[in-house]
Amino acid sequence: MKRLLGLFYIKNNCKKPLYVMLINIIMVLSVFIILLIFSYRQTVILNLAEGQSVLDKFIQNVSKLYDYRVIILDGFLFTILISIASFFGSLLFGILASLALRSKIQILHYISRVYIEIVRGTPLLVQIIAVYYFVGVLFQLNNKFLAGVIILSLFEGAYISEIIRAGIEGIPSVQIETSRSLCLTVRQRYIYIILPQVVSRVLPPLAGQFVSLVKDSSLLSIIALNEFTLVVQNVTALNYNYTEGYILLGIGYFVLTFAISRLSKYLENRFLYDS
Amino acid sequence: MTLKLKNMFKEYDGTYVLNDINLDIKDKNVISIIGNSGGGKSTLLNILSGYTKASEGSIIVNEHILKNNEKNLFEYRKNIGIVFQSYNLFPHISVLRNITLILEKVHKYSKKEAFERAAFLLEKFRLCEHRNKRPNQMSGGQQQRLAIVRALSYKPEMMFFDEPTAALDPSLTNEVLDTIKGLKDDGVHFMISTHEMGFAKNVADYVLFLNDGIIIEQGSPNDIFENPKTEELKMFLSNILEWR
Repeated sequence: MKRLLGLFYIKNNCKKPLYVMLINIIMVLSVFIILLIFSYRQTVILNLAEGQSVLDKFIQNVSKLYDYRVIILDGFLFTILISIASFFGSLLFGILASLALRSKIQILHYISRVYIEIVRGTPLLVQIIAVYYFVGVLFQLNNKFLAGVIILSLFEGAYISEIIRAGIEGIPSVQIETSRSLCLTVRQRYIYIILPQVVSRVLPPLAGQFVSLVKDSSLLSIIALNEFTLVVQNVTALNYNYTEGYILLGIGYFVLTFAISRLSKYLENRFLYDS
Repeated sequence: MTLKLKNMFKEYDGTYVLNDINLDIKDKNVISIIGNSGGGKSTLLNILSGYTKASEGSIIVNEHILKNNEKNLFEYRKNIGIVFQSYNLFPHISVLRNITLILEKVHKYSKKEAFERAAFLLEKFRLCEHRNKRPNQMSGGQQQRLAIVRALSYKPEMMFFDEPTAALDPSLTNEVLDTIKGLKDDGVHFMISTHEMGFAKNVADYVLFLNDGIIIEQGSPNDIFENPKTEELKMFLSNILEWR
């Protein structure tokens, strides 16, 4: 009895055996999968043809998705491309905004403040439409990819600037005092002392922001940018296999974000130091 | 160490932390500053080590005239080793790198020279086994000794210790004080502010007693600890020795 209980209950500061982990993960996952199967069954059961089973229907719908695998994969890769480009773009905006926010020149400080407040206070959907249809028209921005990357970069950059600001402000002032007493120049102080510490501090929240960015990129479908979401939406609209299409979307985004969070765990461990 | 201070003042926001300091000390190897906390000990050390500027007055340390501009003080500080209360190491780089970074970037040692110098010192100060650790993985005493080694590594003309044991518990205090005492035997000249009266008495050649920003008494350890002349010093010593 006690051994059976030991499969599900771990006492404090006790190392978790691998089999306990596996059993529990499998149990949780199977509950989710059973739920998914039943709800799926409920949605298709009304649309079955004569003599068609739920499984047949599933295979039929999935095979229709499979027929469009090339353009779906293209959309998926395009989402990756947009995400990576926007990530660097948002880092740029984030760094600039955080530096401007800390600037002694008041006009820069307020430009940054207004930018951050507006972006954080309005929905991304509104921003996409506003930037694309109003600002974009003003600047004759016809390249959808560029427009999408700029919009996402502006949006995530506002959040990233706050992450970087917190990272810089979290460095204890003694680090600066010590660098001064040891005669490091201001430039050396930033390169060797402050920035490396900021990087290791901001890495975890930055990875979280990157995850959000990947998911937020799906909203770019409303300006008809051929990314993953829009491609899948188009394909399912042709074939009436919405359920399978959106399951695929879910899986696709999850694979991306899961990979990012693994990568960030790895980087975190590399830059880790106790503070 | 030779100190010549004339009418030196230091004010922060209208309050004088140091009030008309005049000193004329010649050829003392180890100078100790004692006095109550908040009496201006740290400020005096920071000014003499070129870390902060004085508000008024002239200051000469050895042959260096400390001018009131950062460039002049920056060059001066390169000859000076400073050790703070809380060991102020760089947490993101290894013990070894804490030393070699400064040697390479500030004092223009080659990579090889810096490594050899650091390895030699870590060996000498029994920190060699920790050299690849991060500073925070060592004990407080070891960290403070590393801070001392780092300040010593570029062979400064003199060193300044600002209550180097104030953040340590008693068992670790001795470890650090022994190290500082060892420096004296090696011929390093330094100035130290401390609450460890036994240390000031036995190691210093000259003692300053600072109270409320004024130097009340100065002289050999013998004069200060055996024949205090002023009421303030008598009171200070009796307070500090009450529980010994």
